[in-house]
Amino acid sequence: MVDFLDVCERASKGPMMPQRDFDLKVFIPTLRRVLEKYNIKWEKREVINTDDRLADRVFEAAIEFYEGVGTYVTDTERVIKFSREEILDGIREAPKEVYFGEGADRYVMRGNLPDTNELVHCHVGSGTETSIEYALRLVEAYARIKKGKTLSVPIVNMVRHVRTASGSPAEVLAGIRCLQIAREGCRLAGRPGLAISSMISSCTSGGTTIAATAPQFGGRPSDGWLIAPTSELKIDYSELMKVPYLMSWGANIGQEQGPVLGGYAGGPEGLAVVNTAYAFHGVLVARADYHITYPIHMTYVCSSVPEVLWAVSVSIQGIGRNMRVPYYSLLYAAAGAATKMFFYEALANILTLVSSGAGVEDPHPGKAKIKDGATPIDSEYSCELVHALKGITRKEANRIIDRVIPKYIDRIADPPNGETVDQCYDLDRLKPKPHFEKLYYDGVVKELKTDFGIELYKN
Amino acid sequence: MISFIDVLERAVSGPMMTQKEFDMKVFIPAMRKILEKYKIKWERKEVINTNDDLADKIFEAAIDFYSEVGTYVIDTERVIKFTREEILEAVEDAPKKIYVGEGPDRCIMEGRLPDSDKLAHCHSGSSVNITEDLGMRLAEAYARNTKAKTLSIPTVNTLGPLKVHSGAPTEIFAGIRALQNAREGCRRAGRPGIAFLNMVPACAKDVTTIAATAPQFGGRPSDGWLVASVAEMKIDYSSLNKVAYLTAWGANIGNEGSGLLGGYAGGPEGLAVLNTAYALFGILVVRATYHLTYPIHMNYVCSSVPEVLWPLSVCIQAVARNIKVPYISLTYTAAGAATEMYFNEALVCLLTIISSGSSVHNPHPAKGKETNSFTPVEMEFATQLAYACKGLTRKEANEIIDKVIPRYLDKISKPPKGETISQCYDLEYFKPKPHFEKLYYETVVGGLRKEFGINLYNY
Repeated sequence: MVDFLDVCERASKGPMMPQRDFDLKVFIPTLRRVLEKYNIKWEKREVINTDDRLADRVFEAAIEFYEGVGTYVTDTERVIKFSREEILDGIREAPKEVYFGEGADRYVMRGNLPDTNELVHCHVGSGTETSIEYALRLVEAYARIKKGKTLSVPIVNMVRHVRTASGSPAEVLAGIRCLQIAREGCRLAGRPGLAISSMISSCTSGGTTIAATAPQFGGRPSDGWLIAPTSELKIDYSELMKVPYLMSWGANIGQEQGPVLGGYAGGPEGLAVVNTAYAFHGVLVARADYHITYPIHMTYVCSSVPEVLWAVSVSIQGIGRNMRVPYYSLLYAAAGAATKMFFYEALANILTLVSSGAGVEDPHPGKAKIKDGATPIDSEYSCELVHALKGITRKEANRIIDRVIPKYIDRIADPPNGETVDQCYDLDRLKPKPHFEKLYYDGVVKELKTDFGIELYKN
Repeated sequence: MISFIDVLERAVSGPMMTQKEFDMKVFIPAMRKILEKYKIKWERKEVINTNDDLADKIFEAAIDFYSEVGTYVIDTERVIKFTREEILEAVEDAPKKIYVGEGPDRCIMEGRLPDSDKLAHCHSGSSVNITEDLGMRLAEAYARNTKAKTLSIPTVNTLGPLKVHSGAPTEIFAGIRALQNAREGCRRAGRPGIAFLNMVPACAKDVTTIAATAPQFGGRPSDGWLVASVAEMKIDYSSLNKVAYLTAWGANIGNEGSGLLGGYAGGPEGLAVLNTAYALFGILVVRATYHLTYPIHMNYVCSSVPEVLWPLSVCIQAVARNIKVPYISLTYTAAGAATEMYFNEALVCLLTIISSGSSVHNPHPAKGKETNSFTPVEMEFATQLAYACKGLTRKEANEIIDKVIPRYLDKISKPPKGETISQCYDLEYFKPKPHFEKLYYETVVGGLRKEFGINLYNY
């Protein structure tokens, strides 16, 4: 695979162009061309793609697309380009498994095929804004979910009375606090070795992330650091900096991306190709050991609409069938926590992911925008569903999803706000409050069993 | 002392102004007013100040000046201001000694008074650019000088054929290599615990510095990290991020603040006040445990002219008499290595520093600008001189330097370039090549003994 120093050299010597030219003269025309050449079209007959040849075609199109486009470096205004052979080499040599965690909580994450009989990876927690007084208990509650194998931790964005700003020194201090809360929460849950695979949600720049997650503050190479691009297929030095640091340490690197339906990628077909191309960018530029995607709809800012779910499904299948890298997906629900609609959206999301062969991060309620808007029940539900759905085929998943989506789709533009964690969850006893308990066990869990034959809490 | 979080709060809530306004409407008028109010004037009768009252007056003026001006934060365009009481409290609470290094190489660095009988702390080495092949041997050569208690390690700015650019991801690789070469060199010299106080010169940005000097790559909190200001009295978030990281780790922080003669500070008097104010800034903003100053002349880009030496002397004395913090002075000579002029300039600089109460750092040849342009002989000269001149008074030092300065002053604008290390030093046997050996031992060492009674190798 092309050496990372060569990537650095291309970042400073590759073709030069303004960002606008990259978007409008390179990215969009190339995407249009490959969509036409490979005849990629969503017929809207199924939400989860079941056509393996189409998945492979999307993958082929993504290779050609990435070969034509490359990755734009915003600091140097240059494009890192790769030949088809280099991309194919990257695909062959991409890490196929990643080791997370320590001791009893050590875990190997691998890629999966669509319609797999294997259990897919369960990631719990949420990197959303959280009041500092809830953070520790929340982490403990997440870590107590034994089916969760890796963890995201809440954002801490206050240092005493000072609110953090992106890249500011206060962010370093908040990041350290966040990591220490996370480790302590895991210790309290009896899982001190559990890996945090989204190091670290309180820090938004490369510098603050590296500082706050240094080993003297609790960072371990068996955790995972996410390298974020800028929409679409761009990267800045702040993010790229993390790569040589983590590579030199032998730490796990995750490629993250949230391509936008309705953005530069255009419709579902473009989103599918761009989402797939990010896997190549991840392997070659971010030197990823694992991948996480979270595509959203530009207007609804959620993932649970059919246009996004199809694109997610077909791109995951393309990657699963042709690369099989460790891959999981985080999808966003429009409805807030502790609402029936959230659980319907989450069900649609998880059915798509499990049957397509991706690992699952618990879908985030309220578009992940509401402070304290995530609960441990979301994570528990997600893990239970993943276990209950083990072995489900795309065809079976489509049959369920076709009945679930109508239950929420007409409210997607105006979803219920839901509740905050303190309103619906007892953070002392780490269990839902009675009204939420009733909704969850009597409403959601029971309905799943009676209506769809999905039995949660079987073991 | 005011907490760092309060400093950060002021960085986002202090008075807002443009950088130009800070320079022109705050800094320069305040400096003029203070110089007049305290009647600070260099009479040009002596190069090294011998008047304690004047040194104290400059310290008072610096407090007044800093309470009026504060520190400008480039990222937020706000000024961090401190009251006189807060500054005085910081003066009282400032760390007066610092523990550096590990094991048998651990040492305590303390402040000294002018005309002190106490041996000056000897800091050796150089941050100047070197080619990759020399890194380890040079570090070994530095560390073999057992009179040196702490080191600066050289800058590596290439990675094979690739030139490293400031703030680029490659800088992390270069920084890690520089640090590991240096550690290995010190191990070979039998001094694995010696501290590096310039962590790490291959890296220009906070993110690259923090990444490359993380403990997994050999960084130890008993080393020292320099936090730089921007001329004059400005700081950016990149530097403040380092402070947040290092304070959270309990690592040694060096305040790298120094004025420019002919810049915003104006003449020698302004430079003296500004340089003293940098110590206050260092304690309060940078949370410094030690201080490094390196004033230079704007045109000649060296420190060995009387207009720089006087403010350096009086500022060292002001800081030593009133704060007594660990304080290192680095000076630059105009002449290159292995020239007689270099040793004359170095002698003058070192006598100024030793007699005024600062720790000693070997003066850097050729303005510190040329690659491979220094040798371990300069370091040996500096440390031997510090030992030989222990107890030297300012008056005695003035008598010597009055004789030495005329030997090079007329050549300061057109100094000899000197030689590179490979031309004059044998890195296999760690000794100067014959022509340089002759110059050093016969002309320099012999001349010092004969003319001034300074016996460098008193054994």
